[in-house]
Amino acid sequence: MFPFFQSDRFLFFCLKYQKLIFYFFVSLLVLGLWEGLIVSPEDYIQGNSVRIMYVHVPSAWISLGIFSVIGTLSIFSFVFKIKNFLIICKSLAPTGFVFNLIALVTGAIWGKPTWGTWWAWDARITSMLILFLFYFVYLLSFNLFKKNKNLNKISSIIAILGLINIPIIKFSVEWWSTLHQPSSVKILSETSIHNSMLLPLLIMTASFALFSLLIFLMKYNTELIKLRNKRLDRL
Amino acid sequence: MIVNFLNMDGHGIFVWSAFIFTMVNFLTLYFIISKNLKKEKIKFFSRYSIYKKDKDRTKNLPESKETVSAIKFAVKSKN
Repeated sequence: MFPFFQSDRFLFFCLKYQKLIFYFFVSLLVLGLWEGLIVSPEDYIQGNSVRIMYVHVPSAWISLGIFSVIGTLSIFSFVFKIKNFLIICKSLAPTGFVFNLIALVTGAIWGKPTWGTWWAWDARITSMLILFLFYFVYLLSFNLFKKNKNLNKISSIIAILGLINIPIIKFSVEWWSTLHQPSSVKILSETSIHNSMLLPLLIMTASFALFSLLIFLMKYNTELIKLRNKRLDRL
Repeated sequence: MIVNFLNMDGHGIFVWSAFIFTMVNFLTLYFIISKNLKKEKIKFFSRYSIYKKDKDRTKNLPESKETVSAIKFAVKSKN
């Protein structure tokens, strides 16, 4: 299944396009920083602190997206025993973990001038912290059970359990009364954020997504070379 | 003007620390991952060269699928 991801062709694809993705990411990041820090207006209530949104929101979206992918692939990996999916998940996890950490820390920094506190045990923030713990345990499982033949099973179960938390994070602001504001950017209904703020937000999201793709390709490349090293040892 | 821009009406400390934290994390992650990749590549080439020496001595042995794949990879990534 999915032979392209296992083949040498994917490895060469990684080597070939890594630099291109890197340059594209840097250009988008510079444009996003320019738009977010200089061009976009300040909020009429929050003032300039609203600019934290341009790093906080994309980080939260990407960390959620990555865990959703990890969880979904883990279901397939658990059911169909596809080893390659485990390598893909392992390569995605560090990026998701770092983005989750960025979302939590920048959220705390944003909370201080907006709510007057660094932290509140509110549903959205607590569920994001739980996601962070899932990422941590998931990454830890690869080190703890490195030589265990049940590594695939153990890591998949952690990811599948963590997947339950994703809709809780998404709908926490609707299900419970929270300090965290509801979503401003919606796909199915009208977005309540002005275009002058939406544009830098989307540029920053695109650049963060490219960064996660870059790190994924590099990490996946490393894992494939590790496998080849093991094969060479056996020869 | 620059001071005003950096100060951001008193919110500068929050905004800049959030952006700096993000960029520091990006750089750290990028360097850790690229360092590991480099390490594995070096390991691969050292093992591959040992294998190649052995192969010169055992020319008549048939090559396995994995060997061919490893050789192809080594040659192409060196290019």
